[in-house]
Amino acid sequence: MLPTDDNLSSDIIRRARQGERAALEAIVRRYQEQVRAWVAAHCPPGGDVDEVAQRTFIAAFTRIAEFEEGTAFRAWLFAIARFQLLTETTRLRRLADYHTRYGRDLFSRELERRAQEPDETTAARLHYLRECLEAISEAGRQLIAWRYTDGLPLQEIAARSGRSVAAIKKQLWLLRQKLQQCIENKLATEGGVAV
Amino acid sequence: MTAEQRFSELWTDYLEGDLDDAGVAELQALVAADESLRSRAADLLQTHRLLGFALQDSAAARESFLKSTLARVPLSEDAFVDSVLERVRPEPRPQSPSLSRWLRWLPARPLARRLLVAGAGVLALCVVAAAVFRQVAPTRPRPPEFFATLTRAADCVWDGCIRPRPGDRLAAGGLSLREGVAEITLASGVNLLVEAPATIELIDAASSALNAGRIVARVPPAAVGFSVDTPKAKIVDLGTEFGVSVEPGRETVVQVFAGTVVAELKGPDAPVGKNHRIVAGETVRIDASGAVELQKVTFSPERFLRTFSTPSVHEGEELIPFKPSEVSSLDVLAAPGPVTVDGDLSDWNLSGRFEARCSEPFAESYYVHGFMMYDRKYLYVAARVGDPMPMRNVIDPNTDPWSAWMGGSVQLRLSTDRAFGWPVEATKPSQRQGRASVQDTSGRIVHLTLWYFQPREQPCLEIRYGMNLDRGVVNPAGWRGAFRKAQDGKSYILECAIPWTLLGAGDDPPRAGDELGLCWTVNWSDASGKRWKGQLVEVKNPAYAARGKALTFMHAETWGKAIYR
Repeated sequence: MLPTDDNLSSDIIRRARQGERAALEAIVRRYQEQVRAWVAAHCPPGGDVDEVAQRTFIAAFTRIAEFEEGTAFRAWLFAIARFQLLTETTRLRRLADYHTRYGRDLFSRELERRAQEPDETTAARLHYLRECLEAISEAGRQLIAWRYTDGLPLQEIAARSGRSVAAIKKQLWLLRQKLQQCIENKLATEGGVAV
Repeated sequence: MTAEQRFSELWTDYLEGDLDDAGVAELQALVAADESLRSRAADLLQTHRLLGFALQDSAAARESFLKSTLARVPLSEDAFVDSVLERVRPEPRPQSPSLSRWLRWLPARPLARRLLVAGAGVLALCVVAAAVFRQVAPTRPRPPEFFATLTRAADCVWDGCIRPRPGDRLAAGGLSLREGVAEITLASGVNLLVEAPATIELIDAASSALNAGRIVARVPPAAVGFSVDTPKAKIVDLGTEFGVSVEPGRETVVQVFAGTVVAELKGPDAPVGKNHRIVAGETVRIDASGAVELQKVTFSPERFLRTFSTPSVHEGEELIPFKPSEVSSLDVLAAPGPVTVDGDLSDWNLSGRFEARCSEPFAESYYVHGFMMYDRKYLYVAARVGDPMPMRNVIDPNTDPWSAWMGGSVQLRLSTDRAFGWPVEATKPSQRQGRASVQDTSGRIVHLTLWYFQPREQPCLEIRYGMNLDRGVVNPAGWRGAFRKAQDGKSYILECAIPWTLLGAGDDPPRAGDELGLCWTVNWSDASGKRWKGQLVEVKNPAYAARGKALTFMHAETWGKAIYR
């Protein structure tokens, strides 16, 4: 079942406006996964994902008096996240050596375009990704864990699995392709997130 | 090879950080020519990112994010500032009506008025002193209330009557640090890093005064409201890390590394009740002339010493790798031919070298063999570094290059100007009482930090210029670097070529016979790849070989000699 998102109760909003720590904590707990995943999926290469996500919450809390009760809190929060992401993108564009390492506008234009799309798509992708990971082989899951959970260099993964670095690269390419296809299939057949 | 196969190769290398400039250009050309490929690449990038997010997500990671976010949140912009300032502002002292009345009868002429007030003041003081003496004299003096501890000290030389040692408890009073770096922890949890020369007054667990020198304060959430008084302003913390300096002319500089502080200006012309918020990434100067406005200046991470990083044999109870310097010069040899930067030193002339090992019990595992060569275009640097946890640095060159040394690195400091001779008379300008010298700010005084950014498997170089270290570049075009881990996983080889143009000497590179300043520092981290563990400093001026005389990043005269052959 896909994650759902009921909007916050007016009581939490009221308590957050009064600066009640527990209310702020409840808001972060509720939305941190969605905000962090969305930023991770749209941040240009070299961006600091958790910094952007944190700035989103901080900006939301310092401006919470501006939130109109009765409107969707989640949409309001993601509007702030979009702005914070734009700020980070602008900062990176201004770094003198940024383009030499990532290539001018290689993907950032496409990511920027996607950042304007409904943010629920990212939540759906993350949800289906977790499901799709369950469906790949044990060996594939081990390789993914070495690469993404442990952050091992490819040389070390190659040494552990008794294969060449080139073979590991190829295997990673195939696994990412397979996961990508699995996510696309599920999005097509099961739909997006219910909000 | 089909376009699809080529895309898969380039794309995989891109995600692994292995794609060079030519590869990036080729990938860009591929995706620019094919809109569907661009969309697919973005899909794959997002899946890659979400994989990283999903597989590193854990309850601990969520709690960590929650805590660090809430620690940065002011409860409400104005209410929060007001509530903090309310706590730290002294109660207003209402003037006694009778005193006001009496003051109205004073002579109008200023001199007569001043004399009368002075006379009355002396009389009042005598009366008060007599009263205080009567009340206090019979009782025993109260023992001092300790609210601080000198937690760490490196190379400290104290002036004045209080000369604490690590572990000593401290009460209210002044401290004058002539040399070294001291870490003081207050009972409130506030951590103060004091950089000599400095004069600081500990007032209580919630406030201190800085009369001269530099401090960096780290304030935990429970101690929000901690304040630092300077001659020109009162700096009030709102949960943060910030540096304050009071220069010899009494100018105050405030730099905020994280969070927010509020500066209340002092002086007769300062607007009453007007607070200036200074946020992370901002630096302001408060002029010594009594100006009432803040002047924004360039944020310079190196302006303050933020980490207790100077050589020390002990860190708490834990021994760390270190050794006194024994090498005073290094032969920099002419390159025998073209050098391929690949981590393989078979094309090097390795006869000019130095070798150094940390003192026991670290000698076997922590060592460095250093090599340097040159030609008309490049300076070549190579090292074999013994490191039980090699190439783990996780400090991102894009976001925090100035902290990268802590995660495991090799640093070189050198002069490329033969006019500066040896020893090099350059010093961090703040250490001088007068103005900075030409050498102090020269672009031919360079500091190199080389590290391997493990998450992207990327060799990195940061260059900073001058002794202020306030100008620099990160991974500039034209340099080449390679790191190679030994098969046993206990050491690594670093090799790099840096154009003289990046070292301020493109038109006039060093030549045979030159003897210029040079110093090496090797830093080791713990398993995290970001926490500094210890260091070895070599190629030093023999006059400064022992620990404790001066810090190499502040004083170039401590550097040893590069002899170009």
